[in-house]
Amino acid sequence: MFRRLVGRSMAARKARVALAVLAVLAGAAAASAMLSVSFSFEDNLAREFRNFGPNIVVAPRSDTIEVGLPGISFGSITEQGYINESDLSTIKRLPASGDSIVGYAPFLYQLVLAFAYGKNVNTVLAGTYFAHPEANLTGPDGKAWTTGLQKISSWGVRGSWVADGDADRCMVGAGLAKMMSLRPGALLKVTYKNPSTGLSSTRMLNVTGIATTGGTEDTMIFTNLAAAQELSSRPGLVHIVQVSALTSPASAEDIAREIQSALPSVEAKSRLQLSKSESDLIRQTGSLVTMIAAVAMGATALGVAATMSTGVLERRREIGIMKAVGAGRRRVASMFLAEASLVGAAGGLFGALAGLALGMVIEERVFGWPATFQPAVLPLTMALSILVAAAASALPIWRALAIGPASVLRGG
Amino acid sequence: MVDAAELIRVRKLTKQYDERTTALDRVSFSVSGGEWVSVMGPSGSGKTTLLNILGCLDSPTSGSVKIGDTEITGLGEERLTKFRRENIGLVFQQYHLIPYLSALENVLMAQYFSGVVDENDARHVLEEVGLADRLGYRPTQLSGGEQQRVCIARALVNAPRLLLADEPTGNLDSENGRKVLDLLEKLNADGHTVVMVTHSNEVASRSDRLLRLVDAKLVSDSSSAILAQERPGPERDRPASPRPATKKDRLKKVGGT
Repeated sequence: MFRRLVGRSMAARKARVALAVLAVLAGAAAASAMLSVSFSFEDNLAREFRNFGPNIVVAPRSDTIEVGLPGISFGSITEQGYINESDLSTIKRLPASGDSIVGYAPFLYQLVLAFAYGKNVNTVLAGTYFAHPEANLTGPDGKAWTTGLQKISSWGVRGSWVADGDADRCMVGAGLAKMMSLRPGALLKVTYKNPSTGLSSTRMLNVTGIATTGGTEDTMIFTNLAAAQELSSRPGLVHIVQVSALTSPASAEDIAREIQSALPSVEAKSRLQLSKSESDLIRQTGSLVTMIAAVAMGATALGVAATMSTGVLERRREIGIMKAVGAGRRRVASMFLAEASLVGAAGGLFGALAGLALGMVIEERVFGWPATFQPAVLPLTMALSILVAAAASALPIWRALAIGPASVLRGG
Repeated sequence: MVDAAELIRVRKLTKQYDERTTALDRVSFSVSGGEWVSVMGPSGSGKTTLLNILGCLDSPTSGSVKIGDTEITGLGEERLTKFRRENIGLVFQQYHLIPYLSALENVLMAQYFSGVVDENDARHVLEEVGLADRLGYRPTQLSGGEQQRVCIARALVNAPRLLLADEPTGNLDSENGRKVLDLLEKLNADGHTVVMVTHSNEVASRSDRLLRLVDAKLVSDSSSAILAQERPGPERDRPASPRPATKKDRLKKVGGT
């Protein structure tokens, strides 16, 4: 009988019920869209930040080489500490943070004499990975996981990147290119003199691209790691590794600590200032989106409260009749709350579906991220909508129930 | 079925809405089980207030109202509601049916609130009031008389001891009014105690007793036979045709005051 009473009552007020459902739907759509975006927001934003370059530098514990990222000193290059190239894949295999590793690029530095177009310039040649497949790691596409400068840097490149394994080509920083009038296609002669033996070795490198790095790398030459190792007779060794890692959920400091514990011979440091700003911004923006979702639900509550309040007041006579016929307050309240909950559920369901679609559009069109379907938003939005609709109805129902049936029925 | 023991005992019943408005002023009377009592008086004399207090829909300011063994004036809202649904059936001038429910569902609703839903029983009550062929009709599809009979069926379905009727024929034409009064008379003959508010001498003449209220005070408590000696007043209700002879016989049977 309860279902029959509630069903008949709702069927008799199709327009009023539809209006209430619409009020819930609008709020639920806005809330679920924001919730949907907020669910993937931190991951996506952390990924966006990785476009700003690496945020962790790994160097040998004993190494004091003064290369790396601005503001972080690892000492002098003349102190020859090395990391084994074969250890690098350990970074991607870290149990807790492996999934947060976007990529890494090793660097082997050496002072060389560069010659082109009649000019000799002393500079640093860095051997590195550009887009290097790690044979023993599998990427999400099922192929070998690829890492290197191309993946972790935000450099602007005129020309093209050096292909992996190509030992005869290089890229040069924009500053050096200007100094030596180099352009893509130019031929560069580099000579390395071993400080221990005094022996020199020379290599001809074809310039494929000019890199604008915005840092000290603008004066360097970059070639494949294997070629650099061969030139300086340091096979399988690198000086430092730059790592790009997502700073959500773990912080860069946490990841650096895990790298150190996995590779005891190295020292890993995060770019503290940047990673803290990233974490703060991700957290603050995440909070903002959550607040917008909360405000949307709050606005829904007000709209639903107004609609429900009017509806309940219009039904005071009906409540009076039910009470006169013998209905207790709880029984009448449960009928009205059931109606409100059904309105909340219907509005919440359709609103959540619309909001999920809207969230995907926002992700794609506004942020340029891949659209993600967040199924958890559906039950969450429905539960919130039911709660809001029931809570918004509670006060007008309670007020209507407080009025004695005699005075309600006297009004006709 | 007729229980001649005192069913209602009202003593010094007073109801004040505010300092200036007194609806009932120290009203005292008793009603025996199986009696049919009419309450008459001009508008604003306190008739409906009295009925609302007897029906546990309103609370008095002071005084005592005992129905059966229960003193209802001290009961809280929930206990009043429980007492009402177990002991009292209400018949309204304006029927007060739920518009989106059928005749059967309006009756079932009253059962539902009392905790036991028996559709066969509800159908039977509607058949008794002559609405066997109107079970699925909504109030808007029924005539005034039919709506009033649904209202009476709803009042009867939980087998109350006391029927309270507030101008039950007030909105009906004479034919439908007569049918409703015939029905009330039958229910009374079956043992139901009836207290009925009316403006009409002719309607009141069907009852055993007549209580007259004027300016919130009970000014007379007499046999309704006295109405036969009075000149008919202006008809404020459209009355059903009276059957005083039948009433006189029943007065003897019930042994009214």
